[in-house]
Amino acid sequence: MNDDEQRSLFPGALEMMVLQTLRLGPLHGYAIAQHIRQTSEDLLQIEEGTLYPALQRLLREDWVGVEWGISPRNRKVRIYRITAAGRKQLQREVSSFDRMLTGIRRVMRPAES
Amino acid sequence: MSRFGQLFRRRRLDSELAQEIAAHIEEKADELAEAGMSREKALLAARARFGNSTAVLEQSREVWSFAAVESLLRDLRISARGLRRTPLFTAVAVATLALGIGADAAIFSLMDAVLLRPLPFPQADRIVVLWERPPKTVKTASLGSRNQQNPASPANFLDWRDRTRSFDRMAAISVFPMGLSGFGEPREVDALQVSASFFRILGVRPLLGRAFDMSEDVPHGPRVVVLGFGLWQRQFGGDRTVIGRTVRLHDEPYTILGVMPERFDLPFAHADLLVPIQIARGMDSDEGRYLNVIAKLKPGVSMARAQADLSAVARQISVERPYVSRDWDAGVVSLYEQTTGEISTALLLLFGAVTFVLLIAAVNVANLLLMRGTGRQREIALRAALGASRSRIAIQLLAESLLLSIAGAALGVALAFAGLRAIVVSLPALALPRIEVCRSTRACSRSAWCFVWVQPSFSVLSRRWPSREPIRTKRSNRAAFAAPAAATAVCADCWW
Repeated sequence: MNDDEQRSLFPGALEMMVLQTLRLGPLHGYAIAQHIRQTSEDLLQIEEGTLYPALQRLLREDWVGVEWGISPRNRKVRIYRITAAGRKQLQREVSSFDRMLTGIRRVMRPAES
Repeated sequence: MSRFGQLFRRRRLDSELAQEIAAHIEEKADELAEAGMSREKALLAARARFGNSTAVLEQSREVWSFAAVESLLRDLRISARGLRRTPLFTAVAVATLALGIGADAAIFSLMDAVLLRPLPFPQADRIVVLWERPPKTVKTASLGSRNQQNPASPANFLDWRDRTRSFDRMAAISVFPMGLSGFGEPREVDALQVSASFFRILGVRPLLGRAFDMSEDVPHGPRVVVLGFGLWQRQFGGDRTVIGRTVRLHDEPYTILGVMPERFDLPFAHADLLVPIQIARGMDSDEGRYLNVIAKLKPGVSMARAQADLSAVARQISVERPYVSRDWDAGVVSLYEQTTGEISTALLLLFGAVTFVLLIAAVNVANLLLMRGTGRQREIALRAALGASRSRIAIQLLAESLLLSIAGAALGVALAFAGLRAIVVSLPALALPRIEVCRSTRACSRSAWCFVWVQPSFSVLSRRWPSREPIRTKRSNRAAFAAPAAATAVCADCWW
């Protein structure tokens, strides 16, 4: 894969997807990455490492909590779960993201409007 | 949080993150191995998929903000050490910058004092200076553009004052050395004979007592004097009870009315004291031209209108008194123009020149840094291999030029101070008007400005090349990750 194909996400996009993933239940880092890759059907090829700075930002804002646990493969991992503040933030993010997407679509397909 | 607490927290965060990242890679490797890859290949692939784990660790740390400051301090320390180890390079670079910044700061302070700072009078833009303009056939003593500026005669001044409509007030000024006695040592002082409206035009009030008014500025009026601050300090020891006392000027008794404030000085004339000029029509000296004239434009009157107004009166005068005023005209010049006129071109040129000197200094230092960068190629490549991100390497290189320019700016300020003092001392007061206003804090703020401007420009120049090289190496790592990625992984392992 070359650099041109790998379009970088807009700031905050990864955080939004992590929150969305955690809404389904607590997960550890690798599982979050897996989930995002699988549900996007491999369209989003994020470098997995970038997940961790994003998680730190979410922790700093208290949108997720974390504790040590055991992974399905029996490894000691940190398990993240979404907080109430995180849920609220997710709602805000999603609605502003929807607006943005709608806007971009309208510009890109001017003939229909 | 206390420093200790921060440190503790950072350690814990670091170790937890490192563990977490290791677990992540292992999980991935497990999964790949289960799909049929050999354990070794799976581990390499998992690491490649994860990306630059050192950078991830650093970026995660930076989220908790203290990392950025810490790494900058560390970079500064490393740079300082590097610069100390190459004293000749450091000395040359700092001296070059100091010269550039010093010259620029000195000339800018000068320009600021002379040209940019508004005149210290309220509504100074309405204050103008009026001159007689001799016909071309008359040779005058003054040179350059000022040969069109001749002082006015008392008779002409009175006609200007009474017949023009563009001016609120008009005042005549005449410098006159006088013998002062009757208080301390007798001495000669520069007396300024002025109209009473002088104070209103310039908008200055005496520090003590009062100025003389219209009723005292009449022919054969009372003998009164307003002292300048300097003379009051020197001759009268700053005594506040001098008001109302009598001093002798040219052996005539004069009553002291007031004292002018400290920072009061005319741009074109220094005065120890002021006395009313008391001009009368039909005086013996009526036709001699020796008066400087200042005036205040009425609000909303343009220079062109004032000039036309004054010229019309001058034409009337040349008809009425052809024996002294045939073909003489009169001119209006703004006080600002009068003060800065000839000097401004020279100063602007000089300022342009020192700006280029600064630019050249900056480019030279950039070149030096570039040369130095060539020698450090390996160090930088190694850091990149160990996982330093592009921005971290760039910051490290920036830190070096930051230190250099801080040192250069500090030395430059010192040079600017010295230079300014030398300029002020070596030039006669009248050569550069308003030089006395020039204050040294200006040099400082100017240098700070220079510094802000110079620093990024040459850092960017010097940074361009060194940071490209390692990045390219990193790219190729990613494209064919087998061998180099293994090396990176090994190094990364040691790192943890």
